Amino acid sequence: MEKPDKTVREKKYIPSGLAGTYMRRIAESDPFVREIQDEPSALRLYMDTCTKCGVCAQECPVYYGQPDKRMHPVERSRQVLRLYKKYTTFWGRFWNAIFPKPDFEDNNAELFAERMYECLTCRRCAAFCPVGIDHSVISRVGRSLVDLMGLTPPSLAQGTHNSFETGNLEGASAEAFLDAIQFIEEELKEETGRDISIPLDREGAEIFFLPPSGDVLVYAENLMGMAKIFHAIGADWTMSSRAFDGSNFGFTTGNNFSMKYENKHYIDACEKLGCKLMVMGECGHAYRVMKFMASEGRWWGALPFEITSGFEYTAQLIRTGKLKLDPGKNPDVVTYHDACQFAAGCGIVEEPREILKAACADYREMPDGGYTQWCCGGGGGLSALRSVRAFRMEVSGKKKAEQMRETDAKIVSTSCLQCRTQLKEIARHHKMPLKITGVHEMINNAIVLE
Amino acid sequence: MNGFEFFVLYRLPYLAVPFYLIMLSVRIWVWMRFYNPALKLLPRARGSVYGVWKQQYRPTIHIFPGSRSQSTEWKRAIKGLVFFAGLYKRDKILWLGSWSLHLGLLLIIVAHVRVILPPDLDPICLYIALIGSGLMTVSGSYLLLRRIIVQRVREITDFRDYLAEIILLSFSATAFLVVLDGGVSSETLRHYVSGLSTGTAAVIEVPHIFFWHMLAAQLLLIAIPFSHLLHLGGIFLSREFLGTSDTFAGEFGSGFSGLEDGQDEKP
Repeated sequence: MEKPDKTVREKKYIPSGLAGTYMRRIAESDPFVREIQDEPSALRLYMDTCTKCGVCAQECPVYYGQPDKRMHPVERSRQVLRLYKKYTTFWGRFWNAIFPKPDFEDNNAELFAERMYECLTCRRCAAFCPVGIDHSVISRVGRSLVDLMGLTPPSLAQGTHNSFETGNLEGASAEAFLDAIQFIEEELKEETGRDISIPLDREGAEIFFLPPSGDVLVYAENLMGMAKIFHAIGADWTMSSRAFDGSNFGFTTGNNFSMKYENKHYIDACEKLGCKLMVMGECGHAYRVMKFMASEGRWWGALPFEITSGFEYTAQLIRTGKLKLDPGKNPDVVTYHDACQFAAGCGIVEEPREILKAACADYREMPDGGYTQWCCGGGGGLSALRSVRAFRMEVSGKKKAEQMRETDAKIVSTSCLQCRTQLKEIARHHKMPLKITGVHEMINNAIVLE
Repeated sequence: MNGFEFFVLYRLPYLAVPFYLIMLSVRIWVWMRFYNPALKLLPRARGSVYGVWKQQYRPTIHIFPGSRSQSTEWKRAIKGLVFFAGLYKRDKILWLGSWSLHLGLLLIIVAHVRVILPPDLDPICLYIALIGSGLMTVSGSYLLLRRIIVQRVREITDFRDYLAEIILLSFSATAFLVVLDGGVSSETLRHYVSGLSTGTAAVIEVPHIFFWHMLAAQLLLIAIPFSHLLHLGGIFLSREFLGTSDTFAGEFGSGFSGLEDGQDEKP
């Protein structure tokens, strides 16, 4: 595995005792980490109930790619749990007083950080573990500590910082966004001969649409598909020029504070515009955080608008016959890769399939699809890390590459921007002549505008 | 009977049993301090245990399809807890080994109820004990072998895990041998237990293997709170114990909750 890129990061000074302070704070539910107050119970129960049966490793995409001790989910979690035990339990403190040991293996905090980013947080382990241990929860606690030590991989740290400060991962200006929207509108005009506008900052609109910024700046086909849907049904919709990135890196890096305030950008924007429904685009992390933390009684109390995902929204339109689609426009064999955060995180499994079946002439299932899908290998923010590309291609993405090769599909459609990036790289790396698309990109091809 | 045998049969129980009960209570007390979804199964009457822990309760989001009515939850709980449905679906051989082991343990415990039953039922109880201990020995041997042979299991196993499983296996194997040796009559057992409970150390005539069975059983009680065997109790309190084949108890990860009052302002 390649070493994380350290060129843009100076070696951090890590105060001794930091890990202990953090673990004790977790255990005591100190307000500092109040957001994750359930994690102590998860850590404690997971520590006590693991039967060490090895089922998790059998099902882990990373261990599948490199079956050795380092990649074992239990072994990775042990790195966090031993810290938790050392600082918060009687026996941990007792043995540490007699035989003191360093906080991290080989006294190497950077190695600890690397290992926390070898978990894809896909939750496949939790689906198969006989006692339901979710190693992604433990890895995320580890990542929180990594973040506190300033060892979060630079590109993720930069993305989180950008999101927190500017509301989008790239730190793009409103002008850049407006340029991109103008370009997409021109593309739509050229393609359809119609004036399909993408309204911005329209107060009082019914629907607030929030795609990840990548769907505006990189993969515009998804946004074009959505714009055509809104146009076809005559929806009163808008986007925001200030909050146009529905993603969440704070969730990925374990930085709870950032996770919350990245979310706040678009809550505020939707509220300010007075929209009644927020439709979120193809980003699993953002939707998972939004779906669960925006429910009443959680972060933001009662919200004056409903929240749904683009998949649920579009599938409902298809069910009620409001969209006219021509599957002949997507004649090739299409398969679907379930994004972990949508499938295992939010239970969105059927909707993307309904959309693809309606929009494509020949849809086929990927093996092991649904809640227990195999991660693309770029989950948990890894697809944003060029520094671990070899790991993503040969280890974490190995199973997905095999699955993609097994299908006869010419197109792999997926529901998350990060998966899309990773799958594209896998296809290129393993020399598979596959096209990787978003789900609404297929709608973009198939929709019939009357 | 030498001094060590006397200690194991007549003195060690006074240490092993309270030790087990105290350590298990401590563990349960620690778990109870945390939120756990098993409490949702308790009735919601005012003043009930549920009420006491109500403050720990936070809304649960079930993210998987299907009805989540109380009866469905019960069905899933039973499927998961009694039949290990999730494991069955994933790994049938491991399920067979694991479920047989637990069934064997249950049968051994049931067979010991004969202490309070009429002596006429002795043959039936011995038969149950024979099946239980046999099942447990075979499945325990499989699980231990699996731990040694399968790389992904061996990698995460340490000395304590092997020790705990060897003690468990010794317990079942000696139980099997006790029964094969003709067993111990319920009358003798009653005499022994009542002697222990009154502190009179009533000396009994038992086969020598019974001493080894008692040693293994008491070592097992001491080992349980410190080993992975503790999942026997912990699974009841685990947030995921409802995880069966068609769900994995769709809790949202770690259940993030809001900041404290006054912490809501962006700096």
